[in-house]
Amino acid sequence: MNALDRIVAKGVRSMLEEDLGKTTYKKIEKEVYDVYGISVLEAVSDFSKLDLVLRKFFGKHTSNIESKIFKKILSVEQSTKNESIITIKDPGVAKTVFEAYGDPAKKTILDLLLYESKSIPEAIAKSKLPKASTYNRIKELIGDGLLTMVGFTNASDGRKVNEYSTTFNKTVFEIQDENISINANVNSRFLKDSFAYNSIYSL
Amino acid sequence: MLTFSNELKNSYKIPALIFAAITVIYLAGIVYPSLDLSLLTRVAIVVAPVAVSVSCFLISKNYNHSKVFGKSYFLLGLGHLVTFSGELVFFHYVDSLHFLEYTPVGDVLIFSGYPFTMAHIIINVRYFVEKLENFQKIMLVIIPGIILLGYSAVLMGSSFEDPGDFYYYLSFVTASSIVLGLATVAFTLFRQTALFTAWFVLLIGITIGTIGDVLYNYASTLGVYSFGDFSNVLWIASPLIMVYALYRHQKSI
Repeated sequence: MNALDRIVAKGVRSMLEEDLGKTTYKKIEKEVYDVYGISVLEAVSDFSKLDLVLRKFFGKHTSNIESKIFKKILSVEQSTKNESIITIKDPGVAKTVFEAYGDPAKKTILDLLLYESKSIPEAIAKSKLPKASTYNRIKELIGDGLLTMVGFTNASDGRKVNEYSTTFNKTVFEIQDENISINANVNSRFLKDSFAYNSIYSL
Repeated sequence: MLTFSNELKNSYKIPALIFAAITVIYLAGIVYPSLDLSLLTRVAIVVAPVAVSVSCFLISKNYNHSKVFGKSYFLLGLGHLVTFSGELVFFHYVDSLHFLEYTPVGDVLIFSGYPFTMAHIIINVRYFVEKLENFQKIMLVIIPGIILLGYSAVLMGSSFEDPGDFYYYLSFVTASSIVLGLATVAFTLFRQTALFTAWFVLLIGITIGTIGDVLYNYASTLGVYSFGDFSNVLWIASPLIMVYALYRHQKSI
């Protein structure tokens, strides 16, 4: 599951509702549950599943619908070999990211993993925050797509554990009235396997 | 899952039934003139667009007035509401004021209904496809072109009093044939989607409506239109079939 896709998941849900209506969304939701036993939010994070369900409803036009939805949520402003600058336009998605950065404990974790990837136990130890709540917050950050798995490392007991890093290298929040938008620098390799990024730029 | 041909077989039955039922009533009126179906015809012509309008507004609400389905069905409903008011004005002119020539206000209202139907189709098409394929672009020109050429060619061979009548009624045939062209293109787009049946039935409804429009405008240009005209059967059947199409739409998605 791609971190960027996790970030935009909430936006896809609201866009589907906004464009096609609650009734259609409920039908898509039911179909996703019947076929995969998961929620739409989970299916968006693993977008190929939602894509297959949407194809059942909209056939070959699905790619066009997906591209339209993703274009409303984010755009890629600049892209180099190593880093890309994206703008998250959807206020709902931006708000989720903003709230994560606004949480002091989450901010500490994000700062810790900004320049150096670490395993969860390492991050918990270095953060000097309460273990249980820090573990939960890390899980939330992974679920929201703000932390990305970048590789593996060996734990102190020799077990192979995942290493995480922040998805965004730099984050700038723009607040106008009640709307929030985000400009963020993302490691270009995180975009490569992102369904959202590829559906915008494949058409 | 239903196959393409199975869906096709299942979806034309109710439109055929609606059409057959109205034709039987029409034929009964011809065989038994004592039945005098003129009042029933008038009521049906006025009420049928309201049925579409109400169905559209309900569906639009059902889709939470969403940007695509909600908005497009609201516009289709609005278009049929305008058509309904046009029919109402038309019958007021004809029956109460005994006005037998043009009924300008009524005609303007009836004509205004077409752009709403066009908007409904365009909103749906634009959301699902970025660009039309070449054959679809050709269809958009060919379908109205054939209808207009055929209509004009047939009328050119007939004699009518005022050439202005020809151009006046031609505008209605033009609008109606553009709607048919758009609906055909939309149908080709939705062929392999869950909306196939809904658009197939809608296409049947719109095709019948366009044939009705052509027949009515032909008869009106020649000054031979009467309430016993077959175009009325088509005008009543078309909206009722469209109501069924709307039902299929909200059932499928």
